[in-house]
Amino acid sequence: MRRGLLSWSETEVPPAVLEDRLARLRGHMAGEGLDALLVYTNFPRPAAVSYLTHFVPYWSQGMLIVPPEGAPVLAVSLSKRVSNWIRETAHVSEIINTPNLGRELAARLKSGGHIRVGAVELNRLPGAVINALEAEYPDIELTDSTALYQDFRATADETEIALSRRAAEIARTALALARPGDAAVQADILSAIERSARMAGCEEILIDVAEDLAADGRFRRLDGPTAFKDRYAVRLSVAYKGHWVRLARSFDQRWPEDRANELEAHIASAAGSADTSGLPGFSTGPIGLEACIGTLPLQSIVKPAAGQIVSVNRTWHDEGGAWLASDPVLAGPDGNTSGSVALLI
Amino acid sequence: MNVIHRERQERLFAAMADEDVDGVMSWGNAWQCDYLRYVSDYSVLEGDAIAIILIDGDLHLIVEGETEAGRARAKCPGATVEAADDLVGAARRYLAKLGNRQIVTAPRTLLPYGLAPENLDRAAADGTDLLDRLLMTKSPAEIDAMRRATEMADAGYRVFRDAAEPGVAEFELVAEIEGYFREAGSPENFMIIGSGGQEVRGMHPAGERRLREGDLVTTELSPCVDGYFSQICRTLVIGEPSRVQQDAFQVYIDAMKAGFSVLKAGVTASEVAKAENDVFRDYGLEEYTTSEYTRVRGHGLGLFLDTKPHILEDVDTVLEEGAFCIVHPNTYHPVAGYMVLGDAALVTKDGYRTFSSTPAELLSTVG
Repeated sequence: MRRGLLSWSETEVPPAVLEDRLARLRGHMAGEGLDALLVYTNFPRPAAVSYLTHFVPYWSQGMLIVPPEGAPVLAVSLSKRVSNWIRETAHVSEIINTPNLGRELAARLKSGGHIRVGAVELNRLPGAVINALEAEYPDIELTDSTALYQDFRATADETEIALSRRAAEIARTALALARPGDAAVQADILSAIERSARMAGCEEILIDVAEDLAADGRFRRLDGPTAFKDRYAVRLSVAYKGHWVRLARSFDQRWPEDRANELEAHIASAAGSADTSGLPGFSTGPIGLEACIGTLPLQSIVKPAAGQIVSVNRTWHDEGGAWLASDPVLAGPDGNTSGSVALLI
Repeated sequence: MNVIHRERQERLFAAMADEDVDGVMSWGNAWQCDYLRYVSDYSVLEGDAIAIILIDGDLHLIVEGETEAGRARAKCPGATVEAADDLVGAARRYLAKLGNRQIVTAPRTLLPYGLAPENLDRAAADGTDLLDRLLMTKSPAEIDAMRRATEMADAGYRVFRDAAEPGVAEFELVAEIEGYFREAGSPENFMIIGSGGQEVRGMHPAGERRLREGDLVTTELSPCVDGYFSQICRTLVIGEPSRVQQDAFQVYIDAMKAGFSVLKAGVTASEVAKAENDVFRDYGLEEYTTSEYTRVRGHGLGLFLDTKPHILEDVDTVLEEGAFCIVHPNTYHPVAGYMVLGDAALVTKDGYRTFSSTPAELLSTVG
């Protein structure tokens, strides 16, 4: 919940881009005969509404009502005094402030004559909201539109690529502070990492550490003091203007610089590829893929779609323990990581 | 298992036994995970999560994706952890395995549609009240964590005050505070900020505005120790405070004092709110106690930063001994702009106890 900079730059995110996304979404809605689409937002699940409007909530919850035509309506459980801030940071024309989201949604949908209504991630939406909606509007035909949204969301546009690249650059600069230097790496680097990313204007940064890769090859959430051993890893999940990437690197304080550089060169060159056999001296472990395909900023996927931004999480092992890395890539036109390109240049 | 969580589990299992409950299914997410943390000692960092704990101590965690599952496994080695794309489906399958056991769910307000009682094919009573009673009254170890969080908030405010100067952007100021809290070991912090003059109506996440001489800079800092949040609200003037600002702020000083003057075990949230609001009424500022200008006049603190009860005149929840809350008469002032002042306090039998050392006054970058 450590929100950093939340501001809207029309240069970085032109209104026309958001309107184009909306038009594309409506094309998908028409294909399924929907009268309207509901897209939920709250602190942990801001990504879908952010993608369509640039709105990122720092409190409470909201629902974007996307009708087949005309401006979408953002209903939020925030008081009216927050509306000016929403207008400054997002591309929305009508904001409804309501303590009873379900009842307000029902009134809106009913008055618009919208009966067949899709909802992204219907089962995960707050029961209190959807039950109130159904109680107030018994004629509504709610349908789950998760797959529709995922299909719409897959391919990154130029704006998403640019913002994700900026997030990755912020992460790269911050992560460089975790490299071993002349002195042993201490926990206070985490403070420097946090400060670096936020000074660069990131919206959010999550820091995970694996303090001792010889003992445990898992990242853990920072929950208090930490102490780095000889081999460790740091993972940064960084958001910039609503777009999230993960970047992780492992380090070994005993290695000479040229050994570290050689390994980093291999990892960086393989960043856009699922082929990790080229990491000298290591056996290859599992690969995990994540992308933004719904309301969560990043979630697991099995296979990338063509032109999708994907965070690739990789693991290797040698006799010294695990070696971890994560990199954001742009999946190739065949929707395969082997044809993808690294987001960081 | 750490002391604080052992205490929680003892209280939880005793309450479950009292009510013939075999298991609790609690829901949490990266914003609000107090119910989840209480039963599992796990705070989710990304997405939503479900913890199902049985009275014999068996704990099952369902989280979204392998990244979060890795964190959960590292934090809770004794639990079974399931990474699921379909959290609701996974929870339903797990519940089905539990047969006829008496399972309650909490908090009802956060439960997803797919797990709402109407949509479950088994009975699951509402366990929100059971958990609320435990969450609201703090144990000695919990109080100690909140004391330390309050001290961290004080230290954070000193960093804030030192870093706030003309030319600094709001987000740069936040970067300094978050860097400090990270260094101090706080895994979470909720912080909003406002800067400017009479035109400012509230606080929000940091923007790009740069501080100017004469600005009122409002903030609330909410660091966290061992999962427990405390909070401090203060208003800082960049430079010398004007007479208008000082006069306006007297209302907030009086209102916070009035709120604290009635605070003790057995009073309702309503009584505290009324005491604060009456001061505004006396100053002819009643309008600014309404939802048009302010949200709440304080709230509970604990494993969530905005927990029950909300300090409002229509909330009759009784504050019991051991409750922890913040009294903050934050609102817009028509002459000076948005101002805040608030301290966290432990409710005691005869009154309250604060742990904050930051002066409860209009602060300034000079002097």
